[in-house]
Amino acid sequence: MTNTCLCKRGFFVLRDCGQPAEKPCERCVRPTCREHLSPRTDLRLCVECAAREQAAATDNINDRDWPYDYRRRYYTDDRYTPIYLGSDTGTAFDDYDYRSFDRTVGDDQIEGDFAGAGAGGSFYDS
Amino acid sequence: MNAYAAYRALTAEQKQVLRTKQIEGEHTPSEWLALLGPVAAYDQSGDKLRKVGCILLVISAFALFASFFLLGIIPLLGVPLLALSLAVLLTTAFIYMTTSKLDVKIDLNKFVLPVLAIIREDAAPGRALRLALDMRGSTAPEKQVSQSQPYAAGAYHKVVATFYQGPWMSGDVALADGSRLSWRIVDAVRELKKTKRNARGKTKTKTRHKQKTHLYVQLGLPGSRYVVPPGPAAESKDRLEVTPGEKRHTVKLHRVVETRELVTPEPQQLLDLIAAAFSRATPAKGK
Repeated sequence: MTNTCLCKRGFFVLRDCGQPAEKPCERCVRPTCREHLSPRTDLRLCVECAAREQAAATDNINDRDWPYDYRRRYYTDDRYTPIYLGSDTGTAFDDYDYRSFDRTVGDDQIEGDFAGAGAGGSFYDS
Repeated sequence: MNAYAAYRALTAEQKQVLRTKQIEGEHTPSEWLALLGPVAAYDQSGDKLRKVGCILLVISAFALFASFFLLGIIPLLGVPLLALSLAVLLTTAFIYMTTSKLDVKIDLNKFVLPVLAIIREDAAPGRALRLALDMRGSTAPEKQVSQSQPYAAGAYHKVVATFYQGPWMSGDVALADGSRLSWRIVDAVRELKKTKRNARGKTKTKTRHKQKTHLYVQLGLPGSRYVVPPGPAAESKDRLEVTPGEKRHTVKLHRVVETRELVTPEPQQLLDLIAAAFSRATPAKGK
């Protein structure tokens, strides 16, 4: 079993967190790092399960749970179907879909491949 | 006096942001949130303080007025009331003016901080976000681009239209999937000052605003990871431009949000546009 956090980082493009896990989430049993343990559940659940359990999302953007609550609301309102770059397809299910990569080549380059990312170019000319 | 405690807790850089109401630089999204969070907290408590100040100003003005009558009837009550109302009036006016000078004209809590908190989730770890913020408001004198000659329209004998335009937020950041996201938000405002004389001969002036918020998003997607088919936009009022490339595909989107008042848009307006850009992309299979 992996000992890295399997919570999903990202909003438009999801990826596995990959930080060293501190303990499993009591609901989805995925290994979870400290950052992704929900403070409002006394670190019992991961932020994704906490967002799933919470009827009303937090409005405090300083709250660590806020981006996950907002993300969940955003997806379940059918505003967006995220792309998923990670490998965890079996340990947790969400009631929204992902658009996945066929992860055969170059998976190790994710988060590192910025070749040409700095290329500027103005788009304000329109 | 939460506003004063919040102000005292600010760093020199944060106080500078409040004074100039403009900031431009490169920090990670977390650093931006740490820099602007306390500024937003101060601004919020300053707004609350001014609301209370407004009520106190009205009450103390009434009390001052009443004290002049009391001076002639019951001087024993009139003198302390005069002193007290004058003290409250002057203190409140001073507080109101000093906090107004530091008032941030865009809603950081409603738009800027939520957008940064979302961008942080997708940003490449350790990479800087280039951000420029102008918090002077869309009708700052510096943003005036033109003004009409006075003209008459209907019951109004004098109408003056003033036009303002200026960007108030732009950002550029490398994302964790290798994409590059840029955005820019520009407000264009038409301000109408309409003056008329009513039946009793009183002159009244109304000010009306029409605001168009232009949101521009550019997303550069790595060709090794995404396929971006060219084609017309889905049913949407947004302007879309797709430029497929071997190394990098570029998706540009432009949305206009119209309102009849000066308001900061909802963060969803920008997030929807970025989501629309990502929705154009298909993960490249087997590449």
